Parts: sequence; C-alpha cells; structure tokens
Amino acid sequence: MTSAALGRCRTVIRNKHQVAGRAAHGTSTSSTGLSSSTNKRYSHVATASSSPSGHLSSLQQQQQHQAHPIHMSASAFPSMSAARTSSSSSSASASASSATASMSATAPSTSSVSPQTSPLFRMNNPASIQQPQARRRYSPQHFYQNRILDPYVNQAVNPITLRQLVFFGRNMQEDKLLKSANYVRTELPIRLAHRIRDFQNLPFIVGTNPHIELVYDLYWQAFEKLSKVPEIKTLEENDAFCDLVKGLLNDHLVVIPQLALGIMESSKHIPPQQVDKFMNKMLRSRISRRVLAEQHISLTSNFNSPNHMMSDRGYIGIIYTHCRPGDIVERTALLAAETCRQSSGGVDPPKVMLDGNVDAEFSYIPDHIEYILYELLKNSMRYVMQNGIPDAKTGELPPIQITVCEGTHDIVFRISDKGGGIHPDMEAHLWSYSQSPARFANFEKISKMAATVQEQMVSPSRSANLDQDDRRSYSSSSSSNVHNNKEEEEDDGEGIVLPPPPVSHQSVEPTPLVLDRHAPPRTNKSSSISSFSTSSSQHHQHTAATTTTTTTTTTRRNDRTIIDPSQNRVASQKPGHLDTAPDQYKDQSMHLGIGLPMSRVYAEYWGGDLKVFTMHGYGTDAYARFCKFGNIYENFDD
Amino acid sequence: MVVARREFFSQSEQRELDDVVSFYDDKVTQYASQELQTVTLKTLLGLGRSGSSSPEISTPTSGMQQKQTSSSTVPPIRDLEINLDVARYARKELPVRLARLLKATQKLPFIVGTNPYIKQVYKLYYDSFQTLTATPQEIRNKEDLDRFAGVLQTLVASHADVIPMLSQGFQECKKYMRKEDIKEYLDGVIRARIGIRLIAEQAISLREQRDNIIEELQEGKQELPPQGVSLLPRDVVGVVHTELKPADLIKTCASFVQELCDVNYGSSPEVVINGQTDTTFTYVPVHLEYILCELLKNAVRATVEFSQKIGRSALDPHGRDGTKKQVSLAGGGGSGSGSGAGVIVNQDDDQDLTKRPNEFGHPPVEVTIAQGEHEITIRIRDHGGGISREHFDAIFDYSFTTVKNEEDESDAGAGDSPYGVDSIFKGVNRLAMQAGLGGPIAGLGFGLPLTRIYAQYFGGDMQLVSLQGYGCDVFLKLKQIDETLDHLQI
Repeated sequence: MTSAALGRCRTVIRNKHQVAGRAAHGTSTSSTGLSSSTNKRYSHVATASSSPSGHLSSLQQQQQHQAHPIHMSASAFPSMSAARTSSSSSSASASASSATASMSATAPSTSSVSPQTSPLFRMNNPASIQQPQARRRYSPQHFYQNRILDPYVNQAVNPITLRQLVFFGRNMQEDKLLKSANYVRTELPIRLAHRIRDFQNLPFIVGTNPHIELVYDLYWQAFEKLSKVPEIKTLEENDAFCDLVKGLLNDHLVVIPQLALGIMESSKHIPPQQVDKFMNKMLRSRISRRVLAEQHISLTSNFNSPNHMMSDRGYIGIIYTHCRPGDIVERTALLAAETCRQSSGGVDPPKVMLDGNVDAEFSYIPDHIEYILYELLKNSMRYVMQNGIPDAKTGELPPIQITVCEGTHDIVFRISDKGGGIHPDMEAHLWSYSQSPARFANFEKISKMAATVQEQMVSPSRSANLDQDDRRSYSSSSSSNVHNNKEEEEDDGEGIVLPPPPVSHQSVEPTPLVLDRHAPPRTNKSSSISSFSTSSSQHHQHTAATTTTTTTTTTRRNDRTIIDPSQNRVASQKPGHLDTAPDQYKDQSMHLGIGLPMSRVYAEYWGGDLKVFTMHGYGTDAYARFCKFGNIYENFDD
Repeated sequence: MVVARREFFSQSEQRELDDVVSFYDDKVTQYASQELQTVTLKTLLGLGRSGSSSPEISTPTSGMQQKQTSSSTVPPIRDLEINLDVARYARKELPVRLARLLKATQKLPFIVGTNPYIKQVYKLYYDSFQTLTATPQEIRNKEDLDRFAGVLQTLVASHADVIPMLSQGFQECKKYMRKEDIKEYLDGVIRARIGIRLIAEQAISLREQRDNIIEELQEGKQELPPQGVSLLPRDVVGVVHTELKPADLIKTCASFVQELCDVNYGSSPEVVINGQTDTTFTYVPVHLEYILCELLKNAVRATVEFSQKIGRSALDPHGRDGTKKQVSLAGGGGSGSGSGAGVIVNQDDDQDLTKRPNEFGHPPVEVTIAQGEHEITIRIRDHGGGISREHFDAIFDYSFTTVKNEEDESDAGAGDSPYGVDSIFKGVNRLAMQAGLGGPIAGLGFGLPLTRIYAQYFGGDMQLVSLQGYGCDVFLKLKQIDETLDHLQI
C-alpha cells in the first residue's frame, strides 16, 4: 500500500469515529463532537477506497442480506442488559450507545466497530442511505480495525478438558451457570481473534477470494458482537447471551462449505501444506467454539427446564457420561447403512460385525464419535459395495468388522473392510484439503454444513434417540445381550450382527436426505426432541409420522428381510440430483471430500487420533482412538 | 570377538587396533567425498537382463563366441558380462560406501570411538576398505571375477558380527551420546550396511549361480539353451527373486517361529494366512524373511504371553476341535513338543478361522496378503494385548541389548508388554541367532527399528498399530521392486 493510500485509510478511520458518533447522536449525548463537513468527506473517501472491490459488488450485496438479521439480533442484544425494549428501528442507536457504554475498557474499539458504509451497496440500494447502521462490512482493507483485534490475539486461549466440563456441569447452580456464561463470553472472542489473524496471514490474493472473504466477515461480525457483551450477571442476561450465541452458531453453518470452496479456488496460490494447516486450525477452532457454545447453551436450557434434576441422567450438557461403544456403533451403523442404501438406489449395504469391549463405558461428546464412525462406515460401505467380492456360497458382501478395544487410557474403534483398499495415488492425498483441486467441488451444491451426524438424521437411528424410553430399554436389552455374549466367549468376539436397518419409513418420507437442515445442538434428549421437531417441521410436514415409524423400525431391527416398495421411489432419485430449492433435499451421500480430514480433526480434538491403513487390492483398516478419561486438554493450535 | 582372518592382509594391515585410526590417513576422506553411484535394481539384476533374454540383442561377436564355446559347455558370454558388470560396479562403489561409513564413525564423539566394540567395528570396516582398494581395479575376465568374489565373500563373512558389536558398544556409550544422535548414526550405518551387503552378495551369488549352472551343464544335467538366451533362471537372479510367493515365505517363517515359541513357552498360536495367498512379486527374499521372522516372533510371543497374563490358556471356553483346515507344511513339520500349532492357509477367507483359539487358548495370528497395483501389503494381526502407550513411542528405538549381555536381561523385562522397550523377544532371538536364521543379521533388541529399515529399503514401509488390551496390527508395505526398476536407487 502506498503512503498516499495509507493516509487515505487513516482518514477513513478518523471519519468512522465521526460516523459512529453521528449514529449515536440521536439518542446519546455522548457524541464525540463531529462536523458535518467531515461526514461528507468521509462518504467521498469511502467511495474511492472501496471502488477497487467493485467486482465483488454482488457478493457484498449477498453479505448485506446475510448480515442484516445478524445485525439486528446483535444490536438488540446489548440493550437487553438495560431493558429488552429495542426494536429494529431503534437498533442502531441502541448498538451505538451500548458500544459507547461498554467501550470504557477498550477505548479504540469504538472506532473500529463502528458501522461502515458500503458505497456500492448504497448505490444499488438507495434506501440504505437512511440506514447506514444496517451496513457493516469488515474486510481486509480496513487495516486499522485490527487495533481492537490485537489485544485478543495476544491473549492465550484457556483450554479445557472434557472432564472439567463434566465436573463443572454437574449440579448446576445459578452462580455456576453465570460463571460458565462468562467463561464462554470471554473465551469465544479470543478464539475467534486467533482465527481472524490466521485469515489475515493468508496471502493477500487468497483473502480477496469471495468465499474466504465471506467467512472472514462472518468471523469479524461474530467477534465484534461477542467482544461487546458485558459481564453476564443475571439469568436473563444469560438467556440473551445464549440467544446471541445460538444465532451465531446458525449463521456460521455456511462456514465449512464456504471455506472449502474458497480453499479449492485458492489452491494455486497457497502451498498444500499451508492449506492443510490452515484448514485444520480452522476446523479445530470451530469445533472448540461450538463445544463451548453448545455446552453452555445446553446447560442453560437444561437448567431452565422445570424438571432438570430428573431428566437426562447421564447427559451433562452435550457430554454423555455413559457412552458405550456398542450403542454408538449400532446407531451409526444403522444410519450409515441407510445412507448407503439410499444413495445406491436400495442395494443392501454389507453387514457390520462388532466385537471387542463393546461395553466399555466412558464420557464423551457422542456427536464427535458418531460423526467419525459415520464417515468411516459410509466410506467402508461404499467401497465394499463397489469392490467387495460377494461370498461364493451366500452371495453376501464381505462384512465390515468393527473391533472395540479398551486400553488403559483409551478406546479404539477398528473398522476393517474388504472394499479393495485405496489406490496409492489417492492414499497420498487422503488427509489433504488441497491436493486434488476438484475435491470440494460438490460444496457448491451445499449451503450449510454443521459437520455433525444430526444433519444426516432423518433416519431410524437418531429418531430412535428421540424416544428416550424406547431407546434406553432397547439399548439396555441389546447391551445385556452383548454382555452375555462377551462373557461367554471372552476374547473370541462372535460379534453382534447388525442387520441393515429396515427402510419402511421411507414410505412416509420420500426424501429423508436433508443435508442442510441445521439440527440445533443436542442439549439433552427432551430439548432435542423439540428442536428436532421444529426444524423438521419446517422442511417436512410429518415429523410425528417420522418419529413413530422410525421408532417401530428400531424395535424391529432384527427383521432383516424388509424390502419396501418405497425403495423404488428412492431409487428413482438420481444420486447427486439437486433440487432447485436451495435449502431442500440433497443427496446426503454426496461425496464432499471433507469427511476424512474432518473426522481426524474431531478425533484429535480431545487427544485421540484417527489413522487409516489401506491394503490396496484388499481392504482398508481405520483406527479411531479416543481418550476415555477426558483428561486431555483440547487440542489447540495456539 | 571374532575377527575373521583375511588372506589378503598385507603386512601393514597386521597392525595393532589403535593404529587403525590414523589421523594423517586421508584416503578415507578422499573416497568418502566421491559421489555415490546409487545403484538401481536394474543394474543388480544384470543391466539389460530383459535384453539378454531377447536373442537379437547379442552382438555378432558374442554370438560367434558362444557358438564356439557352446560345444565346450561354457555358458553364453552374456551371463558372464552381466556378472562382470555387477562385479565392476561393486569394485568401484563399495570402497566409496565403506569410506562414507568410516567417515560417519569418525564423526562420533572421541570417547565413543575409544570404546573397544566401536573401535572393533571401525577396524573391521577399515580393513575391508583397505582390502578392497588394494584389489586391482580392472575386472576383465573370469579369473579376475573369481578372485574378486573371494574378496567379497571374506568381507561379508567378517561383517556378520557387526550388529551385536554395535549394540554392545552403544549400550556402553549411551550415556555419552544423545539418544537421537545414536539413532541417526545407527540408522545410517544399518542402511549403508544393507546396501553394501546387497551389492556384494549380488556379485557373489551371481557368480555362484553361474558356476552351478556350468557345473550342471558339464554334468549334462541341463540342456544348453539357444544362443543368446540367458542361462540364469527366470525367477532367481542372484539375491533377487522375481516370482517370490509371500505366502510360502510366511509359512516357512511362521513354522520356524512357532517352533521357537514351543521350545520357549510350551505352546504357540496358529498362524492363519489369508487374502491373496497365491500372489507373487519381485523382492529380495532374505530381506523379507528377516522382516517376517521378526514380526511373527513378536506376534507369536505377545500372544502367548498375553494368554498367560489373562489366563486365556487355561480357559479355552470353546473346546471346539476338528474341522480345522490345517495345511501341513512341506518340511515344516510338527515341533518336538507336539503342540501341533501350524500354519493355516485360509483361502476361503473364513472369518471364523481367524478368531478361533487353538487348544491352548491362543487366538491365531492372522496374516493377510494383499496384492495392490504397485505394492504388496502384508498385515499381521495378533491378539497379544498390544503395546501400552508408554512403551509405544519407544518401540522403534534401539534398545542395545546383546546376546552377551545376560545381566541386563533381568531389568529389561520391566515392561510387562512383550513389545516392551528392552525385551523384544530376546530369548527367541538368541535361538534365532544360534539357528543361524533370522535373515542376514539377527535382531538382538534391534528388532523393530531394523525391520523397519529393511522394509523401507526398497521404498516400502512398516507401520504398527497398537490396540492396547487387544493386540497389534502391523502393516508391511513392500513395493513391487521390478516395477520401480529404473528409478529405484539402492
């Protein structure tokens, strides 16, 4: 940047102070003495400075649209501390005043968080001139904004362990909940700031990629909102905070697809190792923030529920203290089988055999394990269905063997298939985000991705989860079977044969494949029922039907010969076929190419790991290891 | 320590050990600074071996010569030339490689260099270096070749004890050097050693092979092939086999290991071989044999010890006998203890077979062979309880225990895992030593690191996954070395 341009930027910054002041002027008397002449100059300079980004105009518009509701909620938030009266019309003043009020500690922050104008947007939307507060744009060009970021970047994150979360979450009291809220409140901006800095360390050209820029802006917005939240002192404030965080979680569902696309498009500008490092950092940090946020939201909603002492024994927030490999494998195997059956047009996937210490019990976030196992099983099934040589006598595909091993510190799931293995050329890029350029091409067809199993869930397994009593009794009965089996046969795991799940519910729900349906974080079972229902009912009109049918399907799980005519309907759907409705059904088995690296990030998050060894020409073994004591700190890059 | 006497020792070489390291002798430095001529496998297989099998390649003169000599039952000139080429290459290359090895040893800390074992090793290599450089550069004919092969043979034989010596030496020196530095040095030495041996043994064995064929021809046991066609058998070229059947080698190694295990523990687990059991590939059998023996030893021993630990042997809850598709081995035979543990080739890929314990309660060791497009993968699975996490990081470290070092054994067994840092199948290793098996060099606590170096030598790899409380999976990935013939460097 030339010195002239630098000077221009300074002018912009100076003027932004004034704009902020003007915005606040209506309601707050603490305006910072501004002159109308500089305001005019500001808009002029801003126009000049942003003109180089003219090619992004459409994107900017898009962002404005996206940003708008976020902004509303954000600006509404601080006013809640005083009184929850702010409407959208007064949101600008509320936000400005609160910014002024809360800025005492971080004086320069006021300037950087102040609204900015986007002349292009203004040109296209004249109406917006009257509402400058609705237009926020944080882009790499605004160099001096980083003054607010720097102190956060310089702060180290405070990593936690799973065990700390468990202990803390027990016997929740008001003061503990507020403590949790404030931990999340102070921690999230720090973690976000570190990632924002990572974005800033990308090559400049990459930063100008529209997808990357979009994510970058989202991060900035989130950072700004979160860093403005004052200390949470009451339960009401906490509720408001939870709403804010929920909103952010929702907004950020676009992050993975956008990041993937951005990385794909930028792959010629960054060396592969750097891309992988960047992506791993991003995803890891993303998990960490979601864990903190979801855990707190879950604790809050649990605390708020009238009978929270009674419900959800075993669940502490999103952590389940009685994770059993047998149950987890069973659930994910059913789901993966369903996915594969549907994507293959009704062909039965291979059997899944289970042996080893299926009854080991440990505390974990089930979602994390389920995501990994689901991805691995889906891959295994797909490969076996493609390459597996059917048994000469029975004609069955070679089964997938899952072995669970409990060591002194960890639990390992070994998933072994005979799907012909991975070709060496492909094996080399197994964990890479950038080696094969077209890898993420399918992300163009997806708008949102939570990277959880729930988004795959309109299937028996998760639905079975919903009916708590049913599931508990079911799993306990199955577990006792397993247990007996194991006691009798010691190490010689005869294994449980998990039959491919029946598909009868498809008759009710012709397209249960919803990739982008955002399942809100599973807080506990009761709340997940409600959230499931609401989100489902938005997309499908028959949640109740789904739930009931799937419940019956799980109870009939031993019935292995169900061939439902409705399969034909599924089959007629071309795999990969896309509905025109943007947020509607997608082929859930669509190969996104992020499953494996994402799984490893998940596995490593609490100190485990994921390894894949392939025997080309034969099959592949995957080893997912999880620490069973939860005493490992979050695997964090900073 | 036995140092073989060499017939080629000149007077000057009968010096005292201490004189070996002469500060002013820069011959080593001179040689060491020469460029290494990395050998491709193609060279070792006799350069244009493919050419030799196509008759038209032979030049008219060689054809003539052959015609003349064929009556006197001398094999085609082509084979001799291959042999001569390899020998010439060895003559030129080995001194350089030895010099580099010496150079690396010279860079060890002075205190380590004064250790008698290390010094002994240095002397061995130094003598070999001197001997080689003293032999005439030109290898023109069969007489030169025979003489040179003799030199190589003594050289190879004299180096047989290098690994135990190094092991003992660094056992004594480990407090004077950083662990990583020792590892770096040893990795380098062992890799260099494999290369040197490979080149030398190839030259020797090509000559032997040729001599044997000539002998057979003279005795009329074999017909002289048409002119220009190589006499060398298609599947064995010196130390390289082009149609090596891993299943056969696994069978041999497994029954050998089972026998050792029977002797030591009174029982042993079955070994079930499944996957693509009839596949073949090109490899150096002594290398693969060493690797397999080492890995199977670990697996078998771990299984038996884990059985003892968890009382698996006593239980045997199944009591299922019979219906075992047991393929008795050609030459393998039952061991003295009559345990009857055998090697089962599980062609039907019977799942049950890989899980069923034998009458001692030992679950079988499962060996799976997979033939990929460019590589062979051999997976060895055992139910030996795995390796604890504390020990896992150290399994590829050198543990410096030697056959001689009896008193060290007591504390070596500290880890209850058979894969423990210091205790990699020691007792059996000793037996393997005595039996003269276990590949070109015996393990001696160097087992896993050495095995991995061997596996990686031709661009392959070996990886080990521990499922603690359950067992170990070892993935041995070996390149089809004939495919990488042109660029594979040794």
